[in-house]
Amino acid sequence: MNELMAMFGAVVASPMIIPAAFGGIAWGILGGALPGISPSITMALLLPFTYGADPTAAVVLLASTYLGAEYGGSIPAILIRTPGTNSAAATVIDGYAMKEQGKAGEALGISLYSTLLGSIFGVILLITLTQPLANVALAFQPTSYVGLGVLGLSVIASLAGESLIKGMMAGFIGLMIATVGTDPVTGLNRFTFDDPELLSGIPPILVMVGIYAVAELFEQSSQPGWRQTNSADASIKMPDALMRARLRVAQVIGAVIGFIEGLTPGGGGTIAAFLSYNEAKRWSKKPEEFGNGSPEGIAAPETANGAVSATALIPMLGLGIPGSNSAAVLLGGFLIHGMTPGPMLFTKHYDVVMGLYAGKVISLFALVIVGYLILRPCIWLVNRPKHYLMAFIFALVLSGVYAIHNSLFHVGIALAFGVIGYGMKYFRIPTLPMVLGVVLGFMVESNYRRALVLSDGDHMTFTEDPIAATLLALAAIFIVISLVRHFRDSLKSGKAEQKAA
Amino acid sequence: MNRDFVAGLLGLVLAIVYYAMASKIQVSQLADDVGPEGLPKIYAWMLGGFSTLLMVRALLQRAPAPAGTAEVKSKEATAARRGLGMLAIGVGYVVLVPTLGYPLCITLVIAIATLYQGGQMSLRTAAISALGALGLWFVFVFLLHIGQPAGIWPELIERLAR
Amino acid sequence: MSMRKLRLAAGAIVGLAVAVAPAFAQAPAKYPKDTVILATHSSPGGGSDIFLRELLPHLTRAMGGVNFAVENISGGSGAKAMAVLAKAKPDGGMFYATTPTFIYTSLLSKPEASYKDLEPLVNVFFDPEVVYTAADSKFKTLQDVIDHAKASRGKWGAANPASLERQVLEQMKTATGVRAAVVTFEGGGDMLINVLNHTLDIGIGEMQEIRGQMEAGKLRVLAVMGEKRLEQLPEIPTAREQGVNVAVRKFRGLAGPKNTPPEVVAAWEAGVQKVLADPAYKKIYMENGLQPAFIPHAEYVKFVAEFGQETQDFLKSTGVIK
Repeated sequence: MNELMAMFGAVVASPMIIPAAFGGIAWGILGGALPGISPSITMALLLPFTYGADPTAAVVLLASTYLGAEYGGSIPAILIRTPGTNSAAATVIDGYAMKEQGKAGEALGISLYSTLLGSIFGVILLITLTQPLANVALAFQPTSYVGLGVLGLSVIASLAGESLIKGMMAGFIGLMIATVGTDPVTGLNRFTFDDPELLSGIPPILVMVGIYAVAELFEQSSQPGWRQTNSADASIKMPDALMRARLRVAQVIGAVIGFIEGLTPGGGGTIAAFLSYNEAKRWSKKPEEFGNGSPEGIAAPETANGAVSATALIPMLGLGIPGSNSAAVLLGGFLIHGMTPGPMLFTKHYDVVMGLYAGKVISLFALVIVGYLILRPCIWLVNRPKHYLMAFIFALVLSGVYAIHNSLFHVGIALAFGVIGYGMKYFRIPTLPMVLGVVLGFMVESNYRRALVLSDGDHMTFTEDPIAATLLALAAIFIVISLVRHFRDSLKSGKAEQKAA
Repeated sequence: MNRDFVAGLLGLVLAIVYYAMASKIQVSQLADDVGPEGLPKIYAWMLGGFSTLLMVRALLQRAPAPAGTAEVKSKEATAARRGLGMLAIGVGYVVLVPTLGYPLCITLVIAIATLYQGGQMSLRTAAISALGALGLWFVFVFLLHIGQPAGIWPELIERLAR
Repeated sequence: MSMRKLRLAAGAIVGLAVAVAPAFAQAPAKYPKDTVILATHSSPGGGSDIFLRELLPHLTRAMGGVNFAVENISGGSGAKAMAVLAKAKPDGGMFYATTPTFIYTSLLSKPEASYKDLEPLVNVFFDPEVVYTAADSKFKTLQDVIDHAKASRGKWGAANPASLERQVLEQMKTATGVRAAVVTFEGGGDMLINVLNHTLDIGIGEMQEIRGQMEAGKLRVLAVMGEKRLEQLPEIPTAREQGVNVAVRKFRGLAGPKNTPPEVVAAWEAGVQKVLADPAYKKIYMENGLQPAFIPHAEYVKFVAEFGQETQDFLKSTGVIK
């Protein structure tokens, strides 16, 4: 109750919070919707302008931009198969499939609704429990991250679709891509060809934009008719009661995973999005619809993204430890105004923290209003004639991918992954396992080796950490179950399948 | 040749090349027991194994080619060629943009890709390309401060002014 | 190009606003450029970026009204910034905020231009490295940590695999001859968690990174890994005082293209000394845990060359580079 009063007081004291929240959401949606402009870049671009500003309004602006960008990424993901942000890549799969079925308006509505629910959940936790929850982050050791990563990868066993073998191949290729760059233990360069541009690895967004967006452009070039969303679909359709009931499980999964990932440094939004996609599929009543336009396949990752955008602030504020690049930029926003986040922030700058909380609440309203208004022009844009649309998507991708590090080399990599994505489609190799490998590979490898350095090479260390032990056991159970199912199915179909398996 | 067999072969080649690169990673005293080449080698073995499995399976199945293969094949070849055209536009952009600069090149990308996708060579297309490029320039360079390549123009203008 | 112009204009406006009042107080030899770009490889909000942005208003005053603008040239861990700087005109119009990172990047990869293609200008600060542990851990002094490592096996954390911090810990291990696992992370925050939850015995890092936790009394600083004690933490002894013969100097200075004219160098030497003495700025940098460490041009060139050589020796002897 005291906190509510203090939040209200903060708004009265610095009313600039309100335009900052709306401005941040709008700017974030713009940046997030452009491929290559990540949420952290979108925020960092604003940072120099917050110098002279009121500190509270400045941090509200940055925090709202974060939420806006996480939502903005889903719009091009659904409409043009181009993930605007890393964490929107999971939304591409079913979002674009729904668009292809003429259900773009419904997909966008589900995305907005889910992001909103996720961020309401996150904001409530942020406001009520930041200080105790910050300590939850301390429970995560290197071993725990290995468990998290392996659980994420274990889904390949069930996702692989028609051929488990091909899925495994794609997964290992993804893991290989993740090894490019500076070795996490020795600092040696691996697979970099001495090129400084490869030192920090291949940014996952290049892989995703390449195999989803660019490959789709190549693919569509040969198709006679780019399916346009029919005009009846030009309106946004928010989920009705029946749909809301159907999405519930996926959203709970997304909210919980987003919450955990937000708390744990090194996790981050992308991993949250893919893990919740995986788990939503695992627990869904209609898992076969995933990949073919399942509404739950949008709801789970988008709820997670919304939750992460709030819970990532918990360790940043409570411990002074940013859990993601975006939280690091927000940390910079505090530092340049002479405030050091950490346990003492709540006593030394109580008013700013309350102002930030108030701003987060206002930004939820801003998300609904701005997020809704922006969709109509977006739908109009994708309903232009096919030749213009494809030309503009291509130009957008070429411009956006460059922006990550002002690098034409990166543009080349994205084009190369376009070719790879096209080839994978030709050979009917599923792409999702590869993306999972790229997203999770570095986390798994670096923490696996770190854990062994700590334990002096003793693998039992993974059983001693309860988090790791639980997650790894779950992963093992899931793998066994799906292998048994594969085996049974192939026995049933009575083909030569089992010879190979 | 079966398509799966080719996929397996490519995977196997990738695994071998990658393994060779991994074994060339130098030895460091800062290394742990696993080492920088440890997991990569395992990945290479796994990829190689699954690729071989796929090849074996493709050979065992030997499914008779579906009817109308020739037609499907030629259709797919045309499709791939059309895709290559888009790739060429992208590669051309990467090659030319350091010299010709972002505004001009991105206009050309929009115009050429539009024509390539079956748009009409018309004033309308030209206008839309130019306006679209201006819009992208406004968003990326003006609003977002991304230093897109300027090309030779600034230097040229400076030299002419002198 | 247009972007740089725009940015310059923006920077100039900000600079002017700050500079207008005291600019004409005294007029020493005029600086040859009206506007100077200070480049950094860190993105907005990163370490060097914040350092520059806090410095600028005060530097404008100290340098007689010269305008400064920050330009973030991220990418390739400094490789890009070095390439831009190496090609810049040596007219005092552009400098690069250096940290040991640019030496590590030069040595670990083959960038277009390396630190050897740049000319160090002057040094401004040392960013002291401190060794710390969780406040509720059993280690009270550096000796406790060493003893523990001797008796069983130490677990020491450094933020990044190939970094000055890693080097310090490896040197400490060699100097004391104990058994310790040096664990590296993807950044200071990640490591800090593992110190707080006792996965690690100690961590090493800059004061700025641990300030929030230190203020809250959750961390205990055990030793300063520099040559002398810090003004900010006068009661904390150096490692040498505790019998561990390791000391490093993480520098924060400026570098520019080769053949920077002497009058530019002279202006900077005067300006940096002046800004370090400015009480308003001193308050800020002391809070950030920085140690004023002006090194004039001639010495700084030698200092960076030596630092580069030492780093190269370390990386070669450990087999990280050939």
